[in-house]
This record gives sequence, structure tokens and C-alpha cells, in this order.
Amino acid sequence: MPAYELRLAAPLAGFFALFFLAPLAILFYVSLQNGAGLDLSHYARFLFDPFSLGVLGRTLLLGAEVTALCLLLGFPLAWVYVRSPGWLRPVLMLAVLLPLLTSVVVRTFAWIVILGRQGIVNSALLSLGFTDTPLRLLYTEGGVAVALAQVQIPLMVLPLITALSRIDTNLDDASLALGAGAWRGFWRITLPLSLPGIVAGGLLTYAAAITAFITQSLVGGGQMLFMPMYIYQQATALQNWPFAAAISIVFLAAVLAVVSVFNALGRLSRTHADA
Amino acid sequence: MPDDTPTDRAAPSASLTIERVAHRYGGSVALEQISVDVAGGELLSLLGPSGCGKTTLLRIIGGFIRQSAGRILVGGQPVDHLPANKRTVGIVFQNYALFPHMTVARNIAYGLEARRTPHAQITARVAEMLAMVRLEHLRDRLPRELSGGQQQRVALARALAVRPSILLLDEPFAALDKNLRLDMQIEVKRIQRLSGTTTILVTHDQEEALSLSDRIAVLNQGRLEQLATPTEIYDRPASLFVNRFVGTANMLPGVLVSADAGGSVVALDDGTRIAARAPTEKLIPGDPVAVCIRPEHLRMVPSGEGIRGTVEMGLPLGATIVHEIRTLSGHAIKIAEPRQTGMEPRLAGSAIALLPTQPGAVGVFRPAAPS
Repeated sequence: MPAYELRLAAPLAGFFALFFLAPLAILFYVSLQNGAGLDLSHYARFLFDPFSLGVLGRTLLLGAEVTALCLLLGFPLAWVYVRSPGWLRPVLMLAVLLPLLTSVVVRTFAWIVILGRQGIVNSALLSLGFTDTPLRLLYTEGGVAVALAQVQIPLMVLPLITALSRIDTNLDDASLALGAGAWRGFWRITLPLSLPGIVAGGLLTYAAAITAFITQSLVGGGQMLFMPMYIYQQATALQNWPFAAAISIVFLAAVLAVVSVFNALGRLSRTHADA
Repeated sequence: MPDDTPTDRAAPSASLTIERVAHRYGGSVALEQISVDVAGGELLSLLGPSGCGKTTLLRIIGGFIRQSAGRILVGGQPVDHLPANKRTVGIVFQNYALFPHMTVARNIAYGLEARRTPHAQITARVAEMLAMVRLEHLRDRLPRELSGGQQQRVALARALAVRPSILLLDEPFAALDKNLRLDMQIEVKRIQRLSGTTTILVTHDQEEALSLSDRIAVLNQGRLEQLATPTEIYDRPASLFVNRFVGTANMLPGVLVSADAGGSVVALDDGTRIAARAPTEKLIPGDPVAVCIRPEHLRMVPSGEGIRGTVEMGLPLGATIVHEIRTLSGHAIKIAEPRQTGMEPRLAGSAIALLPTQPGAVGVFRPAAPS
């Protein structure tokens, strides 16, 4: 690689060193502090505490649920976008991007109004007679997942649009002409070839979902504890900085593990999909 | 309609009937009442410039577009109600449309798997197809690891593996470089003969159509201009369009002097009278006409008779020699002659006179509408 490319990246590298690597090093140092000395006792406390592990597990699971929901809702949207005529595309793109253009606080309170006991969903269900008592939608994991999926769908749809529009439309016709129905064509041709987009979108959605502090806290309420809020409580309410730092490092390691699984999938699919 | 079982298929070399098929896109006419009968095992070319409707017709036969009017029959049975995946039609696309994430063998097996063919039969058929296109050694390669010609042979094998009753080739040679193109044309013709599959070739390349086809349908602006054998198309084009699109033609303005079933006489604008074929269109003496003579159908004659002019340029092309002539009335025409050893081009500026070699080589048409 020519040297000038690396020089061009130097400002960013310096920025990262100063504002990411250095704080990370400090964070790690803080996590080792125990009274006068340094040891791994905070890590041990986290890893042998069922409550803490439960929070971590629930957070990672929440990410998986949001990602799955985004994929389920986003794939048809991306597919429609790629197939739609030119004049319709800007309209669809605006609809896709709209959640990102709204403030997170406004959007989250809107979800509280929608999902609450007297919210739109419950009053509709009650008046239609589907249920006698209001359903508990707010302060549940399902509610959090739906609220997160709404804002993170663009992160899934945009990479999917890129992947789907790279697929030659003749492949569909070729599949049909060979006698395959639409479903077989989808499973055997479209889905495998859109894997790079699914992996990229999944990575973005997952990372955004597990770290979404405001939505997790407001829609989840006090009963649902996820990692960002757990860290926040340890640091500010309990002033237990070393333990908060240790949780942060564990969380980071867990996220990196999930990310490397995604990346491995991505590499696998790229060797398949590159035409 | 009972669901057609995948094995319940028309036998190979089924006939294809295109019956008064017309198609409109919005308000514009893409095809006007085309009728063509293709015999079982025949190779028919749809030849025309881009936008003539040939690809639309191909997509109608394949079931990807529903025509506005008319019927398509395969082996005598109407197939208009069948979606593309229920028609027994194989297609080779211009860009081959191989599945990029599947090996050569998996690509060829795709259609057989879709028809739920037993596994052992698939293996046998894939091996048979690989042998037919001579790619046994590449069965586990991915499409991007193949050359253009190899990709095309895989596309052909994939389309033929399911024993289609009709094979559609959509500009299959356009993406190949010139040297490879001729090899692949020979290869495709060989495979088509071998499989005996009724084949429709869509092309804008007249040489390709002339060399490969049993018959050619020349299309222009959605109309069928002529349907005939390659030699008939070349020797006796039915319209000015066909004469100019297929092969090279010198075109000279003139007036029809007389015409009957056996032939005609035209007067060129320099006063020369020449004998010609009987017009294919309805023309009466006195009508302005376009006179078409191919370069190889002209010969030089002693001055005093024929079309007079001067040599502008001489081009020795190896086996033939071509002279560009400017006639006295100002038209540029070309004459091509077989070149003898040592024969040099005539000097620019020399006076010359030309006549057609025979009346049958001169076409008389209604002039093109001024555009």
C-alpha cells in the first residue's frame, strides 16, 4: 500500500488515539483498582454474579431480537424499493429515513403514548373487544424491542438496498425460466446474494440496539435493566467507578465477540456473492 | 386448470407458433400483429435494429410479458395462460445471468432441482450436459472464474439441461470479442443440432443471423418485414429496409419505367435505364423508386454505356478489391470485385462506367419516407 494513503489517515488516527484509545486505557486501568492495589476482583465479581450475567445476557438477547425484527420488516421494504419505479423511490427513501430525522426523546415519548395502558394500541384492542383488560405493553422487553426496531430500521434497510440493487434482475428471470417458483428463487438466489447486506445491516442494528440508553431506559422503565443503564447506575448512583469500568470492559468484549461472528459471516458471504 | 406436473412436458423439438401477436407499451406500439410458424428443431433468428421489438417478442414467448393480443402455441398447445416457470422454455441471456454463488455444476442442476428430479438423474444429466459443452474439467468452478465463452457454454448447458421444448437466445454473442464470437457461433450451432431443440435467436448482427439461421424474421419498428431463408433474404430482400439492413447496398434514386411479373425497368436520375427484379411492393410506372444494387453485383464496362462516374478511392481488401465511385449525378457507390494476384486499385480520378451483373441482382423499392 502506498505511503501517502496512510498519511491521509493520520488525522483520524490521532483523533482516535486521543479520544478513544487513551480513554479506553484509562478505563481499563480504573477497572483494576481495588483499594490500594490492582487486581481482577471486579471482573470476578461480575462473572460470578448471576444478576450481572443476567443483565448482560438480556442485553445481548435484546440486540438479537431487534436485529431479527429489523430484518423481518426491513427486507420487504428494501425489496419493494429496489423494484419500484424511479418516481416512487425518493418517497420510499424519505419514509425509510424518517425515524432517523426525529429526536430520540420525542420518538420515545411517542412510544410511551402508543404502548401505555390508555394508549392507542390498548384502547383499540379494548373497543374492538379483543381484550377485557389493558395489555401490559410498556415496560416489557417486547415493547423495548419494537421501539428500538422502529428507529433502527434505516440501518438495516440501507445496506439491504445496496445489496439487492447489485443483484442482476436477469437472475430472477433465469430462475423462472428454469422452472423454479418465486419462493425457490428467493431462497436459492435472492437471499444468498443479499447476505452481505444482511450482515452489514445486522451489525449496525445490533450495535445500535444494545447501546441505546434512552429508549431502553424510558420504554423499559425501572424494571428492565440493560447494560448501559447498569453501568450508569454503578458509576453515578453508587459511585462504584472501578466496578462500572469493569462492566464496561466486559460489555465491550461481549459486543466485540458478537461483531466478529457477524464479520466472519460477512466474509463467508462475500466470497459467495461477489459476481 | 390442474397444476402441470413438472415431468408432464412437451417433448423437445416442439413447433412454435406465433399467431397475430401484438404488443403495446402504454400508448406506443411495440409489436404489430406478428405471425411466424417455427418448425420443430428449426433455428429461427429475429433480426432487427434495437427497438424493433425483437426482445419484446422473445420475452412474450418466454412468458415474462403478457402480449396485448394474439396467441403463442408450443407444440400446438396455447401457452399464454402459463407463467414463465410453467413454460418449457430455456433462455440464454446476453449477460448469461449465471448464478454467481453457485458452481458450474450447481448452475446446471438448478432447473432439474426445481423440477424435483431424483438426485441420481440430476448427477447423470449434469455430467451429460458438461460433456456436451466440453466443460467437464470446470464443474466445480464459480462463474466468475470462467472466461466469457465458457460462461456462455454453461448458460447454454443450464438452459438445455431441463430439455426445454423451445430455446431462446437473447443476443448471446454480443458480449464476446470478435475472434471468440465465430468459435462460439459454430459451437452453439453444433449444440443446437445435437439437442435438436427448436431455437429462437434474437440478434441485431446480420452476419450472425445469416450464418446460423435456418430462417430469418427481419423486424423493423414492430413490423415483420420479411420471413425467409438467409439466402432468400440476402438475394431477394422484400423491402428497402431489409436490403439496407442485411448486407451492403448501393442506393440510387430512379423512376419506374415498366414492371411485370418477370421483371422491371427503371430509369436512374442520370438517364441510365437498367433492368431489375419485379418490385415486391405495389408500384406503377412513373413512381419514384429506390434502386438497390449490392457492391459485388456491379461490374465495370467500357465507357459509353451504364452508370458513369469517377473513381474516388480504391481499397484492396485481400481477396476482394473495393472501389468507391462518384457518379456523374453525384451519388457515392461502392463496387466490390474478386481480386486477382497483383491487381492494384485503379487511380483516383479515372473515368469509369458500371452496370449490374444481372437484372436479378437489382432491387426496386418504394423510397424511404423522408424523416
